Amino acid sequence: MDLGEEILTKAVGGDQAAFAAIVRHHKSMVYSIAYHFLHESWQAEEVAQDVFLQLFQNLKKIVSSAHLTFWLRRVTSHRCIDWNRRQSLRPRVSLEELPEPVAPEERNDPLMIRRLWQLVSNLPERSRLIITLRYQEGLQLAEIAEILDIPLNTVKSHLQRSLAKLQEQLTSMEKLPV
Amino acid sequence: MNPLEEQLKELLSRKDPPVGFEERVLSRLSMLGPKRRGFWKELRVSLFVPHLRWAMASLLVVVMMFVGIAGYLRQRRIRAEGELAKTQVMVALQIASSKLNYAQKTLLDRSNRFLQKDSSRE
Repeated sequence: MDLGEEILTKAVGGDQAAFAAIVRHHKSMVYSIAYHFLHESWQAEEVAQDVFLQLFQNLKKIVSSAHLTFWLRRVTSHRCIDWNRRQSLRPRVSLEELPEPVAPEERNDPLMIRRLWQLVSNLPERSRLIITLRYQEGLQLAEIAEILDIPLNTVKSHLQRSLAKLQEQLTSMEKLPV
Repeated sequence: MNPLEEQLKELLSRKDPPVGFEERVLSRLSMLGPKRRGFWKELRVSLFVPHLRWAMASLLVVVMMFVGIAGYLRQRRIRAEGELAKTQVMVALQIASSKLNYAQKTLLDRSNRFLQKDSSRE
């Protein structure tokens, strides 16, 4: 579902209500990419807010709603990586300032989902992003390669390796006595 | 899609950010100052501020006058140095020419004397 070009044009013209509509339309995409990568709600929110502020400052460069979606995915992905790398240098935020944490929804086997969540969070940063873009956004490998500025074959190999690793770790976990 | 991929798809489905996200983004937006302009744009804008326009124009004229005068003085100095060098070359040429004339005259005298002696012996 794409946002109307009219809203984009209005937002580019400085209409704050139109920009709010853009935020409303894309907030779950941006927030979820960050959340699935960083695994912390407050960090994901911080990154998502930064992405929308950056969008506001770069609205004139956006030419269509498809470009907007691509731009948001790309900037969010790169911001997530930057955030992760800066994380060790940043002071921690106090508990009072944190928004309520959002736990992953558990629909199937809750234990399995929790294990998988943990395993995904242990993947290297690039693999984690590729997995997120592939299964959250349902993107083709070529699109992921374009967003992350890496060759298609690198995306393929990262994805295959990550899936094999996840499968292997899940299988070995299942064998463990509960 | 295999079962693992199905589980990943479910695990990584989109989630809404915490309540009040939009408001927080918009309030941060309102705290943003106007976008910083580049140096040349900043200069151009400040040059065209109405009450500064005449002051800037006068300043520009004064600066241009200074540049013009400095250029003229530099040209005049270079020309004077050129004239001096030319005079020195001319004097040097005159001295060289008189020396050459003297040498030529001496040579002619000696050869004439030599020829006279030679003819009287014969």
